[in-house]
Amino acid sequence: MIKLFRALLIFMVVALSANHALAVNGTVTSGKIDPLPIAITPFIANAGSENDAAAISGVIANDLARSGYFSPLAPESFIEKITSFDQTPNFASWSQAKAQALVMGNVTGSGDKITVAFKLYDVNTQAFLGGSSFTAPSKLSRRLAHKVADLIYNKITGFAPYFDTRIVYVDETGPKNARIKKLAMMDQDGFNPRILSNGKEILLTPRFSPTTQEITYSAIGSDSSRVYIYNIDTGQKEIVGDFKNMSFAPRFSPDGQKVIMSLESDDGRNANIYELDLRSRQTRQITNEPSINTAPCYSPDGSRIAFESDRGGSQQIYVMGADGSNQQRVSFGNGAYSTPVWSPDGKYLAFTKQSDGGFGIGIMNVDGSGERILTEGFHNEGPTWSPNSRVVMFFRDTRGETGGAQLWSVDISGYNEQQVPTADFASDPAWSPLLK
Amino acid sequence: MFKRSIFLIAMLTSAALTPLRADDLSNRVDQLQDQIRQLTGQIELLNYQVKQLQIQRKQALASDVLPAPNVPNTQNADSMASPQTFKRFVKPTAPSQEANDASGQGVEEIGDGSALPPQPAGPQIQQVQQAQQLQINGGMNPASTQQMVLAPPPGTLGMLKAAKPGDGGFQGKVLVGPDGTAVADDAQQPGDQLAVAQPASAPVVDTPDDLFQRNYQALLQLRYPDAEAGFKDFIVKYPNHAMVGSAAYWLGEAYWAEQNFGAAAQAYQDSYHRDAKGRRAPDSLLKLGLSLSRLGQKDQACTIIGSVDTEYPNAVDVKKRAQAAFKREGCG
Repeated sequence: MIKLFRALLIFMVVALSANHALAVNGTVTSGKIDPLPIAITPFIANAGSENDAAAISGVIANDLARSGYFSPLAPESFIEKITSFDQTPNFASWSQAKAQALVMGNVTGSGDKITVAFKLYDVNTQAFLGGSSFTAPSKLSRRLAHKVADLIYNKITGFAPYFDTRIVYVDETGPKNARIKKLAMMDQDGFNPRILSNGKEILLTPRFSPTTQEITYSAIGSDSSRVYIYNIDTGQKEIVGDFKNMSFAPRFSPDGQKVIMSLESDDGRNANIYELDLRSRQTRQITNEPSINTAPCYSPDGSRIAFESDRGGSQQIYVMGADGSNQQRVSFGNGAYSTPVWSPDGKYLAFTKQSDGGFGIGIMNVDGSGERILTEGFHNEGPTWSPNSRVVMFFRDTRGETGGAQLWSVDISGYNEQQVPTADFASDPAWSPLLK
Repeated sequence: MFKRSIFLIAMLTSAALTPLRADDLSNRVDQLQDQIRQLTGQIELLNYQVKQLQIQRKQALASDVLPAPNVPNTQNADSMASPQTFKRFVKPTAPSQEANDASGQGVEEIGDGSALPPQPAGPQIQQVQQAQQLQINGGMNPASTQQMVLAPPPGTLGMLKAAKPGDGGFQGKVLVGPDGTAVADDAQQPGDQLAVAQPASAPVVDTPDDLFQRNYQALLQLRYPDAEAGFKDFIVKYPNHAMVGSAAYWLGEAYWAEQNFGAAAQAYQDSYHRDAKGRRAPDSLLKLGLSLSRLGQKDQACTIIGSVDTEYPNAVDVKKRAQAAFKREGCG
C-alpha cells in the first residue's frame, strides 16, 4: 500500500512535469495528493527521558505533516496503546484507526545523552519497513526527532531527506519605514530561532557556506554596502575583499573556497560580477557589461553561474560558464526575472518573476524551458531550495502599514503552500544543506 | 531595428563633432547605454524566437516520420503511447541480491551497542528486505563513522520508473499526461524523434515508406527540388497510400519554402482533397489560405482561413494559428 502511495507520488510529479506548457502562460500549476495517514505513537519514555519523549513524537508528526505527504492521526483515535518498544502491534486495530503506516519509538536517557529508537510498519501488509536509533546530547533532542522524521519521509516517499536543516534569514522589527534588520537562524520548522547580529546595519541576502559553519551576507552601513562572512561558532565577522565600491548579493561556491558577488562600478551606474578566492584573496572579474549584473549563483558542480542582468532593457536571467564565458539569456517569458537560484540537484533554477503588477516565485529548467509559477501575489521574492530540491522557501510581503515580510514554503509541484512560523517579520531566507 | 542603428550612429557622430560639456556627455552616454540595452534585448528576443521556430519546425517535420516497418501504416508518429515506444524510457531495476533474505533483521546494531529485538516476519519478503536500507546510525557525534543509509532516490521529474514485481505500479502501463500525450523521459528532446527515422542507406528495395522517408529527409536537409520531385513521384506511384495526404502537404511546404506560392497552393489543395480527414488536412487548409493571400487573393484567402475553425473544431493548435492568421491578414 505504501509502495503504491509512493508510486502515485512519482506519477503525480511526472504528470505535473508534463504540464509545463500551462505555466508558460502564467498559470499557477498546482498538484494535489492525498496525504498518507500515519500513526505516530507516543514515544515510550524511560527514566530521565520523559520530557524529551513527548516532545520528540510531536516534532516528528509536525515535520511529516508539514511536508504535505503525510497526515499524522490524532492520538485520540488510537485504539491500541503501545506500552513497550518490543510489542508486536495489533495491526487490525491500527487499520481500524485508519492508519496506513505506524511508527513506534523509544527514548532512553543516560547522563546528558539521549538515544531515540524507532520502528516503521506498513499497517496493511503488516510489514516492518525499517528502524534506526540515534544518540546525541539531550539538548539536541529536536535534531534527533528530525533525523527520525527524515528516515520515515525518505522510506515512504523515496525523496531525499530535508528536515534536519536550518534556515538563515533576516529578522525584521520596528515600523515599516524604519525596519531593524538582523541576521537570524532557526531550525527548518521555525523552532530554535537565534538572533546573530545587533541590528546596527541593514542586513541583506544571508547565505550558508556548504559546511553550514559560516554565513555570508551583505550589509548596508552608514555610507556603503559590504559583503561579510560570519562564523556561527565564534560569532566573528570579517569583510570579504577590500573594495572601494559597494559590494552585494554574495554566495559561496559549492566547494566553499570562493565567494561570488556583485560590485558596483565607479560611477555607481552599473554592477558586475566578481569572484573572490578565500584562500588567496584574489579577485576575478567575471562579467564586464555596461548594465547591472547581480544575484550570481553557482551550479552545484561549480561549472556554471546563473545571474540576473538588465543588459537587455529589463531584468532577465542569464547562465554562463564559471569563467564568464558563453553568457546566454535563458528567461523569455512575459515579465522581469530575478534572483535565480540553482537547485541542489542541478536541474532547475528557482526565480522571482515580476509581471502584471505582481511578483511570483517559479522554477524553470536551466535552459529556460518548462517554466512553472509556484505562487503569485502582491510581493513574493527570494526563493531558496530545500537540500532535496523538493521544497522552495521564499518571503512574502503584505500591503499596508501593518504588513510585513513573512516566510513561506511550497512544494515544487505548487502544492502545500504554507507559512514558516517566525516571531518577527522575516525575509531573505536561505536553506542550509542537510546537517551532519 | 535598422532605424535604431542609424539613430545610434547619428548620435555617436554628433557627439564626436559637437563640443560637449561633461554633464551633456554623461547624459548622452547614459542614453546610449539605454539604447544599447534596448537593442541587446531585441537581439536576444529575436534569437530566441528564431530558435523556437527552428524547434517547432523540427517537431512538425519529425511528427511525420514513418512508423517502424512492421507497424501498420495507419499508426503515425503521434502514437508515442505504444508500449514499444514506452520501453525506450523504462529503466529495468535489477532484483536485489538481498531479496531472498527473509530474516526480518532490518535493524542491525543500535547506536549504543545494544540490539533491537527481532521483528515479526512480514508476509512480504520484499518489504522486509527493504528494511535493510534503513541501517543504524551510530549517533550524531561528528566523530561517528557510521552513516545514515537512505533509500535510493525516487524517480526524478519526468522520469518513469520500472515497476518491481508485485509493486502494483506502472509495469506494462503507459502513462498519459494531462494533454493526452504519453509522458516520456526528461532526456527525450523533441529532436530525438528523428532518431526513429531509418538510415538513408538502409533500404535497398524502394518501398513506399522508403520513398516517403527519403523525400522527407531531403526536405529536412532543405534540398527542396529533390523533395518536390520525390513527393510528386510518391503521389503518382501510390495515390491510395495512407500517407498521400501528408506527401502532398510536404510538397506544398517545399514550394512554400521556395516562396512558390502558386505551386504551394495547388499542393495544399491537393492534400486537402485527397484526405480531408487526414492529420495534415487542417494544416493544408490553413496554408492554402495563406498561399492565396500571398497571391493577392484576399477574399478567398480569408474565407478559407476562416473555415478552418468550423471544419476542424478539434484541431486546437491549428485553429489557434488560423485565428491569429485571420487577424494578421486583416480578414476580421
